[in-house]
Amino acid sequence: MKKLISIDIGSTYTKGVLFLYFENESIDEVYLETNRINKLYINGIFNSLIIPINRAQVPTTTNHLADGFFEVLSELLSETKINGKFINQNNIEIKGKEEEKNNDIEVFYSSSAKGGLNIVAIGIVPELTLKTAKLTALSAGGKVTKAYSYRLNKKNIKEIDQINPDIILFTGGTDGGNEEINIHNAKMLSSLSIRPVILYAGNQSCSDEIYEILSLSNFDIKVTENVLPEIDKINIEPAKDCIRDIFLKKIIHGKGLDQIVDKIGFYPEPTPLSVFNFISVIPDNVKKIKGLLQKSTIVQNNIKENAYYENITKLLNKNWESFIAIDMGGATTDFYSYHKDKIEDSNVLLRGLSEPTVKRTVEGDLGMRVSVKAVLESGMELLKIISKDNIINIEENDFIDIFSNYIDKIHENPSYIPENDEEQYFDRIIATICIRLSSLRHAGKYKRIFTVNGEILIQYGKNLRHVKTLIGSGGYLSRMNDMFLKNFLTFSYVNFFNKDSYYEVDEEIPLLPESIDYLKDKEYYLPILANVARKYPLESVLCFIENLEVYD
Amino acid sequence: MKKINIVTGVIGSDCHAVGNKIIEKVFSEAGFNVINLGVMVSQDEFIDAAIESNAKAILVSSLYGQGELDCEGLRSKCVERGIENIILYIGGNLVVGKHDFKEVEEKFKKMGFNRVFSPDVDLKIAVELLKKDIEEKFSEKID
Repeated sequence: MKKLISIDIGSTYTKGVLFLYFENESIDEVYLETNRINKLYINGIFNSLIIPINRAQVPTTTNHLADGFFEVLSELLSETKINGKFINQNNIEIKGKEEEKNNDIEVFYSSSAKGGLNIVAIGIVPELTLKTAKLTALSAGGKVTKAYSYRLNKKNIKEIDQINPDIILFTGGTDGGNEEINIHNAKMLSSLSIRPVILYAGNQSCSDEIYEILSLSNFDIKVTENVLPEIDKINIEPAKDCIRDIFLKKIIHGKGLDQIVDKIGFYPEPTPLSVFNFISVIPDNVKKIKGLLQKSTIVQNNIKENAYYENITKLLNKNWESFIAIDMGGATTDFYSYHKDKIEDSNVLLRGLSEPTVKRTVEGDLGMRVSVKAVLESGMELLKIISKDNIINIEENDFIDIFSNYIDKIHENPSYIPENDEEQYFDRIIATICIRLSSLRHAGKYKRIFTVNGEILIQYGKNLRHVKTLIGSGGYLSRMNDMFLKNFLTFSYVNFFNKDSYYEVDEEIPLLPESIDYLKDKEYYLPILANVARKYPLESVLCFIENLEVYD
Repeated sequence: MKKINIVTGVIGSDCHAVGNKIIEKVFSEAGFNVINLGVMVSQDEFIDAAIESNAKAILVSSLYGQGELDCEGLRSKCVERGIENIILYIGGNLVVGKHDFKEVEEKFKKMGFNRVFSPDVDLKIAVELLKKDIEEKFSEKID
């Protein structure tokens, strides 16, 4: 038996969970009684598993991240009884590389560090290299503070100086393509007063020149493969890996993270990247788990009688080949989709970049508290529709005013928790707007065109119409009570494809899911298990799925 | 040796795909790196791809008779977006009804196309012309 500790240093809270890890060993009676999963292990269906035992949470100590981290760590260690005994902290040696360690505690941790690395993206054509650059930055867990296309000018350089990004992701041109604009941009970047890391992931034909220009100006410049080597082929992985390496080197300086690295022996993973990678491994592991359960006669014969078997089977039978996960916090809404787009309809033509199977977008203006003011601005149109669904008896004319007052109140006090039905209802409206708008920004669209050969639909971006599973996570979505849920989803995903509304939409049709099974990450395990999944993917996915709550 | 990039596609709301595939095959075999955008390509998509790939020529096809409408302003847009030197070719059934090809050719040349081809042109001739034009304009030789 090993103890696994996973800690996520978020922008508001530092959260940790202690898990027990079993592998091919007998389990103490204590756990048999308290943990329903053990039957799977006892009956030999799995030969390893993890069980969450205890959790701890403190507000993130923004000025010195190590304080909050060690507080959570010691709380988890000192308050957890194992086999009726407290863990003796003096005997614990945590230090050492993750892989080399052979003691009974393993620590995994991630840090969202100021909401991710600040990245300035540069490309040539907005719809091609610049779009790919943004996609790359977001997949790597960064946030794109500003994006520039074509030739940089002096004003842009001044702006970048002010933004003072951690990384400049410099792309442009397919391999063998445009060199001239890149060389111009490299020369312009040389005139920056700041010296951020520059990652060049553009046309490889001129990478030597680019490297020379920028290293002569004393930039820390890294060159990697082109994010768009050919017009219809995106290649984001190499640049994504480089951004991760830069993140690790960059963020440990200051804010006390270096102290954690000293003690633990390795770097934190950027939270959004860790979650991104977790999302990527869910479908394969679900398939494996499903296979194991289907092969087991014990499970199959007892599904009806055993509530656990019934529940886990139900969860695993959801559609996991395509799914969405939304992590909505006080400041941002992170939207992940796992979906392989297949064009089956001969009337549909794909235009623009074909997007990757796993995609992350993050909306900095959509959040439940810190960025709530922008929600009001971006979501006014939607708000007017929602206010007609009057379930709390506010006069329609007064609605916007009362609602705005609430927005002001929570904006000033980001840790505010609703105190009555009306306030809960308002929070739900904010959540609805965040989900609705972030979905629209993430998903692709159809454009209808009438040709001599009849109607044609041109598809831009990802088609999420047939995605059936949605995981809601993050402070609000993990806590949300179900009394609002049905309305909430109806408003979030208005069905654009039922006959009546389809023909009312004149030109563009957003490619949002047509119907959704909602799964609530009630323990908010998303970032926590994403950490553990780096070493124990199968066990982490099982633990994640079995702790989801289904709403049919 | 570095291959020369050229962009091709069928412009507008035109879905004729067969000729487009043949063009891709013939020009690839002739030593070009062909970026084929397929059918129903907008002016901006042609230009986006050409800028990003530093293409020397755009080969536009139009089969459904609305080519004139679809191609209006393509050259100006190229100028506007910084690829004023690019070679523009067009070929296909460019206008509806029977017209003297000379008239059609003149019309499209006025619109800024360097060469205009009738639907029955031998593509080998087009290949040779393109090689010649690129050599003259950019002093770059193919093969």
